[in-house]
Amino acid sequence: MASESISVTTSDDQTIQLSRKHAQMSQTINSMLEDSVGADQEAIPLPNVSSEVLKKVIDWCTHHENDPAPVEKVKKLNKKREYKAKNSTISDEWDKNFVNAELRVIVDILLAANYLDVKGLFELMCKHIANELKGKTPDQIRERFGIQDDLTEEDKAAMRKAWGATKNDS
Amino acid sequence: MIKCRPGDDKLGLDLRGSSKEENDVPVRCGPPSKYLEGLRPYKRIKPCQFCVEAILKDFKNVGPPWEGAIAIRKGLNHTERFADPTVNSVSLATRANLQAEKLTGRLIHPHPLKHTDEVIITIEQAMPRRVGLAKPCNGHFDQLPQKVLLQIFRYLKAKDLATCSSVSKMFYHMSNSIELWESLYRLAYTSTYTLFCNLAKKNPRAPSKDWKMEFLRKYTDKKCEECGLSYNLYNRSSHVHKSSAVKRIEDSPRLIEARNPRKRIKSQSKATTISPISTPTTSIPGSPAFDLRRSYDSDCSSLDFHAIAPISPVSAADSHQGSPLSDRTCEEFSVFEDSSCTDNPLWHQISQYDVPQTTELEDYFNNDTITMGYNSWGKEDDWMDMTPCKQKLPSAQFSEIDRFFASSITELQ
Repeated sequence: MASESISVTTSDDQTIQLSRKHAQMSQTINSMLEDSVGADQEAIPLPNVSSEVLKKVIDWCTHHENDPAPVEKVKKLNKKREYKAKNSTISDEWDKNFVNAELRVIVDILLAANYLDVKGLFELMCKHIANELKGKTPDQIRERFGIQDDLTEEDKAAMRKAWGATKNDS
Repeated sequence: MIKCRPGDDKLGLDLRGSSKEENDVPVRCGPPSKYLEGLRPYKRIKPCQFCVEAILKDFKNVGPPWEGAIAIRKGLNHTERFADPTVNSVSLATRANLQAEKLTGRLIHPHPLKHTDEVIITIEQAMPRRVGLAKPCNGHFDQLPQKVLLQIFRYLKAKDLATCSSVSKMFYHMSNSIELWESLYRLAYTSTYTLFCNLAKKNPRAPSKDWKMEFLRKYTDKKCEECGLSYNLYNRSSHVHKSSAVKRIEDSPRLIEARNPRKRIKSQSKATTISPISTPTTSIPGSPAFDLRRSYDSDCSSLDFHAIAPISPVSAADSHQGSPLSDRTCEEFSVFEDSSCTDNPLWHQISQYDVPQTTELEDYFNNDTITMGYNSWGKEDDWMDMTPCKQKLPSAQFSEIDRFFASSITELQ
């Protein structure tokens, strides 16, 4: 019988124990577990996830462990409501507190969720970042996210021209 | 491992796994100045601990007037046991990394380098304008993989996407990505998405169709005076194929009338008084229209569209001579996008419509594409065209009509 806990090794060489239920919320770990059936119980290497971020992911998994799978959710919704599910509003209070962190941490969690393939967490992070992008000017976005303006004057002129053409076209 | 942390400006390279033997690979790299002076701005080498470190050391000293950039990235030919989904992402995000590195002098690399990796050292010419050191990295946002950014952008509306397009080159390309606009289009106009996909299967030129152009044209069309979101196809030769696509349901209102004349009359009286569709006075007689617009029961804040196909003015005039509707296009036939829509045989009739005349399609596909751009240099009112109308529509009355047409569709089945 498979053990109830699984060991994973993070990028900073820490070994963390997590329950099988939480581990299976990650499709990546799940597939690794399936691949290693019958093999020696070794710690699963997660070279792209640090222990700090993994703990955050485990926190989220613990809170949402009883949530229905995202696929089931979609099946229950009709088309119209499925689109509304793309709304970036974060309804869960716990989730709101969860995303209330430094941008660096948010991006790390997003990348970890992408790597570990935890769909719910990935969507949550995407929504949060999308909310951060909304309603801001380009300068504010650059400042908030530390992005350098690498558009040349020629690029901007071309965009301006294209935008003018678009306006005239419509 | 090369890491980028906020406020961390030191270069670091961890060549874990590298050995003495791995250093035997030919060393063909050198200090940046060598390449900047030469004619080969792009060099592909195998990793070598010493030369890479030498370059990094040199690069630390490189500043104006060089303003060059060195980037090291991992190739795709890694052989890890488990598929690593971030590897592709990393390679995709390399452009962004290059940019960040060029400006900050920091290297970003999430994986330890191995001898099987292909390391590319790129030395780029300085940009025409002088770029100083970037602001401290506030997160790794500019190293997010493109597919992740795409997922984020899917939660943005057109206006925010356009804003993002003027943030940086990467954002610009992402905001104009066909994949993004296709997914947005699919979400907003599910019905016609299926229609276009069917068209695309039948016409080899269709894959070049620009979803963004379609989306924006629908979203920004101001032909409808009331809500500004309707999409009337009259006098738009480029969209004739779409109007043609509803030819098959053109007769459907007549069928309704034939089956239940009382309901037909009721619909006419309602539509005459409260239809929000503006009448195109120069409409082409006999040309059917396919009108997509926001559902009446919303305040235009969400993108839940209904597909509405008015019958042609000629048909209206022929069928209802003397009717107030004879000079209007407001006789509507709704194809609802509710859960039963795709089960509707009428819907299948639309979605499997034969491809129209080639010339019409050519006109359509040869249209210029629309490029997103933001008005950071323009006036505020430039955005008026992109702003959804806030005017509330008489939802109660229209929902009644919609219910009527819904029941009519059920009868048709």
